[in-house]
Amino acid sequence: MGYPSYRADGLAGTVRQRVARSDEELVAAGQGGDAPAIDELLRRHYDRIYAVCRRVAGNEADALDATQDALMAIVRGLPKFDGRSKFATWSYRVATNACLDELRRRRRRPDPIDNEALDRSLHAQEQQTVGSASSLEEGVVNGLDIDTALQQLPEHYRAPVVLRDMADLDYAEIAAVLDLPPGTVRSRIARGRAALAKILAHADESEFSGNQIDGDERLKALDD
Amino acid sequence: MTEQEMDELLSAVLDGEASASDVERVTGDAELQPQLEALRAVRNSLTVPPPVDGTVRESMISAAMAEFARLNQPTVDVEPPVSLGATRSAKASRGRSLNRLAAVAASVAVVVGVGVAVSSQNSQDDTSSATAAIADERSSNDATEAGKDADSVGGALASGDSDSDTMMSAEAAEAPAEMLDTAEEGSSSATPLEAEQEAPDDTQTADEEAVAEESEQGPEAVVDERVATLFERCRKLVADQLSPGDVVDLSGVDLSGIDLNATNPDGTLATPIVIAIVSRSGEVIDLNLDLGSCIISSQTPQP
Repeated sequence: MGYPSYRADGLAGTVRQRVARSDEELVAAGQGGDAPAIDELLRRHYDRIYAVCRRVAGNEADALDATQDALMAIVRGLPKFDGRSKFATWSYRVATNACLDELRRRRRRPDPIDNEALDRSLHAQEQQTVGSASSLEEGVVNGLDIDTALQQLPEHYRAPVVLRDMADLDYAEIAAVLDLPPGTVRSRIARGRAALAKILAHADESEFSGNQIDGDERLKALDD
Repeated sequence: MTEQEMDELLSAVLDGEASASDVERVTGDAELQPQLEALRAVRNSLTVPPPVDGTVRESMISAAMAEFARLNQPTVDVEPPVSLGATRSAKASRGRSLNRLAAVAASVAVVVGVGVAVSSQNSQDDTSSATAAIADERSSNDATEAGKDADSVGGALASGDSDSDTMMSAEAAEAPAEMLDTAEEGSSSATPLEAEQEAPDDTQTADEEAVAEESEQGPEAVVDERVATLFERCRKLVADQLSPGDVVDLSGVDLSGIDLNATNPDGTLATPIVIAIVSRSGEVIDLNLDLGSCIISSQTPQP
């Protein structure tokens, strides 16, 4: 997974061998109170946990809150982790739940920053020439804000897409993380991706009147 | 084929989960290629991880590790955990577990509602722990109710006695400061806990009997003002577990074996002082008292 097998021990000119332990070994050690094992485990998975939170939450502040909550939940829940699933899968489940909880909390408070970001993104899209045969791909390649696009997806589409395309979980693992039937996961990933492609490419302007995307209308259409 | 079915087909091909025939169908259809490539572009855009702030990462992992340390903080009771009042005292008893402390404290809670057990991590010290109690200055009905609550916590608990409840309530009207004064003056006035000990209790359990037996010997309990000061600074952390009017009787806490001047480089006490509070709801709350901070190191249902 790219983590180092060697680490400098702080003494000049010396490097001590440090055998990289598997997640399972680290978990077992951590459950026995081995703090360095937990530290290594968290460092190994932090980036992807944060990435999942960032994509699911859709903004930095909520993502950071969710990431911290997830790390705490992992530390607190580790004694109960029975190893039936991979640690990575379990940690994604914890992270996803933390993100969804954060989103629920977010609904109860104003979010002016995200609205401004969405307006900027939509304005940028309006300046682009779209509608050609390759517009879908071009729109994505042009780097439109993926987070802004994701925010237009309902959570129940967003999380499966992120877990599939960012966390690289297979359908069965996503089903386990989200506690959904695999068929539902498959369907949501497909529809979520399709909707996301359209949002990013802004290729379906004809579905919307004026220059502003009606998010509710899009989501309603997605759910129909 | 509906639009949804087409989306699912393309997505399955993208994920390598489509059948060979479906793959052939998609790859052989020029009209589907742009859609497939668009989905691929979406996937590719999502695989690019967002930038990670290294400072934030370190901060978050440090916070999580601090939580891990707190959760795994050993609470080794090395000393006689019981000092039950001015005329009762504790006898040293090494190696008693927190559960034992909790059981002792819970037995106190029969009358006063909330018990406190104190332990130190200094396993070399035979005089560094004790138990105390939280007295209740509310009505005896409240105390009786608290006794019911405590009774449901564990088998070591006995039901509250109405006479002792009354005695306790009267004594419990004293404020902590007065408890300190009383101790400093060497008064033999019964503490709330002592009142309970002196009250007849036909339902005393084996644990309580053992505590009572152990408390027949030893020095008088002394309220250490430093303990009161430390606890008051941390009291807010357990405010949820304390009812209005609850008074913490720390008269049994003995810091004689703990050097409060001995600190770690980070300023924390070299010998942590951990108080195990048994709340009315039956939770065992480990409260780490320190000079500069206080932390609830764990909060678990009482076994």
